[in-house]
Amino acid sequence: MTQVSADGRAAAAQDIERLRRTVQALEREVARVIVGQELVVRGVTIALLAGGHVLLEGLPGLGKTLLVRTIARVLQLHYSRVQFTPDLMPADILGTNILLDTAHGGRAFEFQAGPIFANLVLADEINRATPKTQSALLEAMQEQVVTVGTIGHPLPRPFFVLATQNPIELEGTYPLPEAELDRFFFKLQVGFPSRAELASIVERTTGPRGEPPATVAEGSSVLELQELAREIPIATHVADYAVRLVLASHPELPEAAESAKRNVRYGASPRAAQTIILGAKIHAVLAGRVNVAFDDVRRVALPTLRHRLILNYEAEARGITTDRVVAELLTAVPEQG
Amino acid sequence: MHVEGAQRLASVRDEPAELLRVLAGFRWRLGFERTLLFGIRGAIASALTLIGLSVAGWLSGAAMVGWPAAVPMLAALGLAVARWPSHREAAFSADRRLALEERLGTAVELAGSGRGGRFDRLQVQDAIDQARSARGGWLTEHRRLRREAALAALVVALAAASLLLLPRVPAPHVPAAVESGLPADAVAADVAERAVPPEAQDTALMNSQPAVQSQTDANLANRVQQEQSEQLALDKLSNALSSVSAGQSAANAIQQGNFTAARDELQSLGDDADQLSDAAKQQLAKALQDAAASTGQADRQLADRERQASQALSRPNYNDQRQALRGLGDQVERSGSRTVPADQLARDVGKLQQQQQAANQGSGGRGQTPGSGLPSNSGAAQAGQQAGAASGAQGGGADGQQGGPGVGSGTDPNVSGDASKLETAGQRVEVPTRLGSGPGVRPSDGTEDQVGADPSVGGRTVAELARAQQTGQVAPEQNLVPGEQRPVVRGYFR
Repeated sequence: MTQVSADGRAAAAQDIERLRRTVQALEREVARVIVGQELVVRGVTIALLAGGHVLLEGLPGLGKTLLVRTIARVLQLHYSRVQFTPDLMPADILGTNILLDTAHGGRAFEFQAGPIFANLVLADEINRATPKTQSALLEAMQEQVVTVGTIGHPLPRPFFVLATQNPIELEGTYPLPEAELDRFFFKLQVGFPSRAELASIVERTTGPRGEPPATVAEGSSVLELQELAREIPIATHVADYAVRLVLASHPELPEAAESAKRNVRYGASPRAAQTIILGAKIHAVLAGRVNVAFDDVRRVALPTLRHRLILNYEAEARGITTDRVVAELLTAVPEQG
Repeated sequence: MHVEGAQRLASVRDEPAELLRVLAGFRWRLGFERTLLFGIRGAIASALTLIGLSVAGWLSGAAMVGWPAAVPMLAALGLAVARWPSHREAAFSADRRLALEERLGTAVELAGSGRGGRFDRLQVQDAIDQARSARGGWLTEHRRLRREAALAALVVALAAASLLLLPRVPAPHVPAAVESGLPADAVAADVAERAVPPEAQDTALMNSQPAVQSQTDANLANRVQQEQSEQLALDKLSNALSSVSAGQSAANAIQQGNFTAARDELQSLGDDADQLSDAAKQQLAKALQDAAASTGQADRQLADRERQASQALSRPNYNDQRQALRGLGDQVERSGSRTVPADQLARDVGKLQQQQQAANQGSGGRGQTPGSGLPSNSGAAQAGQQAGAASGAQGGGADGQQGGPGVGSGTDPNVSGDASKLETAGQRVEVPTRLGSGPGVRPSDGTEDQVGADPSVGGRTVAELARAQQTGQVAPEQNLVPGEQRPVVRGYFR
């Protein structure tokens, strides 16, 4: 019995080790291309292992597209890019049924898959498309199925959407609907590189081209790692902390934090609690633990909640950001309920 | 619940059992820490209680009862034992304080649930390893414990100081009425009276002499009456105490005006109360009861104390007797401090007589005004007059209608009526004599003391004077002729 126990423990330890090594290799290969942005890379990695989608927000030229492309290459994933424009139609993304001549001389409708049929989809400047087109992604992101006509077409697995948006060019853009925002696992902000990082970027991109990043895993292993990550145990009191964090963001609830009552119009959805716990599990593994700590919850709370809170008019008028509200929530909600 | 959880943990094998052992160590340490913390708080509470008890005992003069001070400490320790930490509590505390990042809390839950997850055993083993490597750390939250320990040390030191020092500090007097159940206004009056030291009272009395002279006869008579009543009350007590041989020394001290010694003697009598025979106790109780009854309103507090002592002596409880006699001793000292000296009393009486004499002369009549009856100037009569003054001479002096025992005759033409004889020397002499209230009645046995012992009149000074005159030891201060008038008197007789 003890031998069986030791064997099971060793196998589990090997699984955990494999997951860690894969992530370390992924981050190492990405770092060969992307200078700095470690937190963004870590956030994207966590979202990938959790099977979630990421909304990247940052100025043009900060390497968002390069990051997505590099990850696709490192993980040997089928990658497609969709440049969102105001005249982009849902069918341009999802695909459509076209009438084709058959071998028997007849004609039949045949589904022509759109660019969304890929493992990794880069939705570049997603807020430039109309809400109609943006909403075309809803089913794909949540159900991983595209329904055209009456037929549902499953998307390849793993399936990730990495969308980017520009925070300063607001003219001619359409803010993402809350339902779609909620479907993004994380919203990561891509900051401007530091002086040293910028110097390194200049050096790398203006000199001789280096070796392309190596493949560290493939799609099937990513799926396997996703299942592994879900099995990381989390104690009840830690999960309760995540739940209380989400509840505290709802101004109408008795558990609401003072900051939420003052600044928030709508709090985070239940999906936020799922995201926090799932993200915390992966963060724990990457931190070398087999259990989730309060610190893991805190680390993933900001990218999870910042796009799920809807501020009220007063908060917007005062220039209060959701990041600040989340920080205040983390301060207000005690670890031990 | 803790036992049930422990059994459930123990029923699982390997890692959980090991986890249980690790947690047991943490439980003991956390429990000890909690006991220490509760003990410190209990010590603070106990020390505060002890301070309160010692201060209360110091103020009341009663013996301090110390056992209630132990109650907070025992309660705190009992609470600490009752709230002995569970495995889960110990795990949470260890996670928090040893920075184990919720490893132990998760491990306890996994081991208890037995859900058999893929990473459960790995997690439990990881928690055990981490906890073992971190066990060198002490669970205590040092800062809070240190702060409370410092506070406890301070309060305990205060308690010790109160225990050691308070008994050496003289306790403030507690109004007798507090114990005897007198009304609050009586207590207030007593306190207000005691607020002025006896010396200051005497000084004030001295300084007020010119003003008193200008006051009405009634005011002076009232004051003299009050002073004599208080003296009489003490005399009554002295007589009562002298009814038993053990109380003789206290009686003597009262007679000598040494009230501090009288207090000590009474306290000593209280301490030796168990040595008195029942008959002596009954005799003393009766005498004290009589003294209290006769003292009445003259010194209500003294009368109360006498009554308490009498009641206590009638009961078989030694502590009651001791306390009552001690209280009586304290009251004797207080009452004695209020009495005026004998010579002062004599001067007051003389002035009262002068005023009344002057009033009589002003009216041109003799014995026409109530309260104008004047006594003879003989020594024995003076003794009676002193007592008679308290009752206020009643009726006309010429007719000798005044009543009252032991009082000088109401008629003395040399003094009260015909001033021409005095004028033969070319000077007018006013010899202060004391008022009487009727014809003098001498005691059958010839002693003057019993005259002064009449309950209706004052007379301690009379007793002293009579005794002194018999022995020929008359101090100049006790001469009833004021000092400035003595040469005139001597000249007249020459």
